[in-house]
Amino acid sequence: MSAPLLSVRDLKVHFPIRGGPLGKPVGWVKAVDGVDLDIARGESLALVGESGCGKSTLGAAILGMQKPTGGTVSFDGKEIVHGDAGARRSLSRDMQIVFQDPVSALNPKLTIGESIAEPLAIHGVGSARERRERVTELLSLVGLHPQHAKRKPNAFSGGQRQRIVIARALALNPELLILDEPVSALDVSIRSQILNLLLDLQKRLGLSYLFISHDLSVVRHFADRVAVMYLGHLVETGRTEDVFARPVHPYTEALLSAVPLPDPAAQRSRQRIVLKGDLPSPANPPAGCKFVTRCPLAEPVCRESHPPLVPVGEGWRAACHVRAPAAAPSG
Amino acid sequence: MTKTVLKVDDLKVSIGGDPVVDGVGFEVAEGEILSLVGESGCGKSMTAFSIMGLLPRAATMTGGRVLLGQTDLHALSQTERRKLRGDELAMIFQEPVASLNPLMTIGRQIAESLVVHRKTGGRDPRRAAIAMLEEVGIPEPEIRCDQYPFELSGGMCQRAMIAMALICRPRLLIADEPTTALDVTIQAQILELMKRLRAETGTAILLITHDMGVVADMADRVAVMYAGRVIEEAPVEAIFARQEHPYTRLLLSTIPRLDGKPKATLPSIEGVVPDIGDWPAGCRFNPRCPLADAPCIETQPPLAARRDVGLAACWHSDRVEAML
Repeated sequence: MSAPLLSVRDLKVHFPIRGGPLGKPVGWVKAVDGVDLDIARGESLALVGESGCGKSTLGAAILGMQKPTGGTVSFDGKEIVHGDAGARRSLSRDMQIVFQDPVSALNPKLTIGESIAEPLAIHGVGSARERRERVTELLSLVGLHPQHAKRKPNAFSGGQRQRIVIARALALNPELLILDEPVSALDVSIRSQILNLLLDLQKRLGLSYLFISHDLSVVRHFADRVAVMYLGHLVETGRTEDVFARPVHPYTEALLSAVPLPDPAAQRSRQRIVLKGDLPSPANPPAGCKFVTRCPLAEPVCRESHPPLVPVGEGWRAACHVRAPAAAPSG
Repeated sequence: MTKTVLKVDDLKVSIGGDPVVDGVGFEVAEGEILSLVGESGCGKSMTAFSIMGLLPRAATMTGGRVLLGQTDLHALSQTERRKLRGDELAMIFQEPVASLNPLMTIGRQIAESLVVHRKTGGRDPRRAAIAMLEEVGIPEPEIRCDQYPFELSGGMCQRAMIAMALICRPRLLIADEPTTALDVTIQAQILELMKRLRAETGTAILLITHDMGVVADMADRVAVMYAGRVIEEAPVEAIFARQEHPYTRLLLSTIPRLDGKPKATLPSIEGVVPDIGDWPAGCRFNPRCPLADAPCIETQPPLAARRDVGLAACWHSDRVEAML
């Protein structure tokens, strides 16, 4: 097996809760608490979970927008968390992000051509003319007219702006794109256009994606592998088809069963697991398994120790004392 | 025959001379959930606001009627309408946290409409609020009752808003994207709650959403809006089984499904939703419609009966099934 493009080991991002005398921390929010994940070349990994589970913080830490408290992130074999600023900077060529809201992601005073050329200018790539040519190439790559390069963002619809943001992210030929809810802010009739574009670009350019989403139907459609996150921890990871067909962790199961199917007969006849209560406060998580307060299967052991991720199939791991006991009997 | 609770007839609303709702009509019966579906800018929220009498200042109702039972809402004075709001007519909004008063305890907000409408100030509104909080499934209602919105999670605030809307047992509840801001596990709780309350109280619900999964789960009937008009209406099973308008057909087919083929190219709708004031002549969907031809560009199709069960506004309904 070839080495993964991105490799995250035991990554931790803890935020202090200030409030003590002289602003001393009185506690910690463990937004990301010991996450391992790998993304292979050309692969898309979806990171799913509810708001507050730490998925966006994890994305930000991988990009270097948020300094991790601990752990390592390696890109193409090079450790990047503890690298110097220069190494970081050259890395930003290889890794780019697309945010949820294309309206706030574009500078309204720049023409879209200027916005798309900005990363090239920052990294001193090419002459002004070469940059203009690259902008033309990028605009047609994302399905926009090159003549539109001189227009300002307000001349474009939400879907077109997301295309512009994608073009800008691709300007430096990155290998990995972090897509943070790339279609959530778009109209339903536009979402499929952007999903089709992203899948097509992946095929043509061999891109790897870290796809952060809460929309499981989109994830099922889009991603090769999926990692389910709950309160800063991964609870299950595996191939999308396996995890969606036979979820092991009770949280994954509940999450999947909570997605309403766009089919009245199927939706109304199925047994839905409705979880009780809310996500506990990340400032005050339960002891043991973080899911214990909402888990229908919880046993005494779940309150005592945090379950590790253990293999439950090929490339498939889950962290559950009940469904995936660590000391699994052989056979 | 069940009783009609709400009848909207040829409703028209304009903002600065540009129509945003253009001849919308539908009915909701007692205990029924009608889902109003459409994308941003189609006029679904403006329709809801004009039923409530809460249109923003810039918008004016320029035509049509809204009947609650036998009462023509727009023939009433402001005072009379205010008496209905929160009593027989209630609404819940998308942003539960932003829609609650941050300076008032949850309990007082819930009891407020009871105090105003039922004049039970002398009896114990707090006890009624606690009972209502319990009914919507909020744990420790005695404690929550005295807390402020910031002390509650988004899901709990939405429950509190539902409690507030339902305390006077309204005949009609308008829910405008009630779960869009919530996570799926919380969405599942809120949808279950709305279904249970509908069954217990017989409240008619107008559910505004763009999520076809929520529609499939909740609705009895569905009305699809596009550019200020209802373009298709049918019972939920019928509309999911077979669409009579190309927009509905495409909208349903563009959604990735949990049981679909991964990574297949999804059908997509060309172009964008037209801006208000910039609606095309003829059928408003014609610039994006693969079936559009000369009549579609010239004349707006009327909303007419299709296959005994529904209504659609399309000159080419017979070709919709085969278009994909």
